[in-house]
Amino acid sequence: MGRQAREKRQRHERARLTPSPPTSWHLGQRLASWLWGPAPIARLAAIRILVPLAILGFLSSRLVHADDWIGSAGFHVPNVGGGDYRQPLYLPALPNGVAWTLAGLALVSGMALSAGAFTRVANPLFAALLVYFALADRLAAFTVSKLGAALVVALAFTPSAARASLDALRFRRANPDTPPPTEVTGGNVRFFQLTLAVMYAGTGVSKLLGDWLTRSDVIYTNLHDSYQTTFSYLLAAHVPGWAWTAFQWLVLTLETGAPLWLALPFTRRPAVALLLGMHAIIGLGFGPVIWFALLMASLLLACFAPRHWLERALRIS
Amino acid sequence: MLAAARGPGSPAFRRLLAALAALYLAGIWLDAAGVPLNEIVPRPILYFMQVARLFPHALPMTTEFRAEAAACGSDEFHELDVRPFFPVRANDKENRFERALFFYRNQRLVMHALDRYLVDSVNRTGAGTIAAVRFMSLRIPIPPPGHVTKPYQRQPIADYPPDYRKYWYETPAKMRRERCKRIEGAVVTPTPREDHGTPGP
Repeated sequence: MGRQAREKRQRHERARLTPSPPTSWHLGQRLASWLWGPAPIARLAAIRILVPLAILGFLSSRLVHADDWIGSAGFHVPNVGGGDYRQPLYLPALPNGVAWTLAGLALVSGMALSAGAFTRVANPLFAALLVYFALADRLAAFTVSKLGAALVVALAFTPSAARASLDALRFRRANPDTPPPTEVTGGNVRFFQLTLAVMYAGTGVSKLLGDWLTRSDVIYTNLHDSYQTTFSYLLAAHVPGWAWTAFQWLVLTLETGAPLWLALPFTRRPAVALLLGMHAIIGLGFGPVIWFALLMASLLLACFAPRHWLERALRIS
Repeated sequence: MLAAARGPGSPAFRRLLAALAALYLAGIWLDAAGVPLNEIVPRPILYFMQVARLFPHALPMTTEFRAEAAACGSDEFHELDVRPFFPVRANDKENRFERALFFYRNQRLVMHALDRYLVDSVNRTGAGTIAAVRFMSLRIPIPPPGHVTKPYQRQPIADYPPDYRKYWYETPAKMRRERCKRIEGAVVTPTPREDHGTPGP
């Protein structure tokens, strides 16, 4: 079937599945139909494949020291009382054997989720472990720990393994007459798209409230500590001051306006390209922050890359 | 006819999930905008909403947290390389020692616990005994744009001028005396003063 015919069929299918078709001019109705209307399953499958890998990459430096990290071999902050923002929940250190077991389970369940194998077990298990890890050790928890946990919890409530997964392969073998889905019902993909837009816009707002309007060297000042890589050293040494200011304004514009740039069809592709470029610079320039950059880039591609790219990459038709 | 895949649960359950998702996203946004949510959102939940405040401020300087140690009967502190005792991302600021100082340098309870952990860990290595530690931050000025001449490299404390150092914690005298009594009362091999507090790679 040709691409045009396939797209026509998908449009028809979408129109059939949408509870209230977006014919009304009413903004609320259009928003509701966007929220609850079907979305490409390729996006959900891409999130399921990529997000756990980025999280495991981040966790790798912790998992190999599980006894020091969440076990009783390392330093642990004592219980400082319930009212301290730095310790949202006190969880005591685990026996080292249990710590290693949890580390192994996280690795296996994360890989299984990415492959879409035994997803009904792997996904909730990985989600629970990520929530535990994030809360158990505030000292080793960063944005990936918290955002990653929330994303994997959300994945557990979606049919993320319905395509491009080992589970889907087994289902197809057992049910050869059932056509595989190409779309998911409302909300399953929209949550991730909205999370990304809210993340960018929130980050932009926090920068507006911080120093980004009053200082022209915010990015530059963050390039000189132990996060520095050869790439960021070369940037710090050779990029002139005015270029940092220009880059700062570009980042601020991109992030603060992200919901708009990602919503409008004619700005979406340039916005995705520029945001991917931003994450590439962050990933290359800030040492361990590469895992955060990869997490965001994965989410960005899965949520907003052209549908047919994802479907071709995942062989979904 | 192709069917769209559906998530688990009844329509009512899906609506509940949608409401929770909306609250989560609102929490991310409001926290990033500086709205104090700690009065209305339980801390363990709020914690997962605190994800969007990324690099909002210019850094006034580069900060590194370091430790020094001293043996019984000596007032001389030497640099203590803490990296072997905090192996998670030992060489950058995601190191758990740096993070402990970053969050809790003004909280005595945590600093005492860190003190005990470090002293016990060092003394277990057999490379020498220490009785006291002190924690500091090195506050290293950032060169203006166009004046960066060499890449970042971890340098010994002694390489930095004294006015770069800010001390946050030192083992209280009483704790140190008790430790020394224990150390001197135990059967330990005496070690030269020069070796004290310098274990590690």
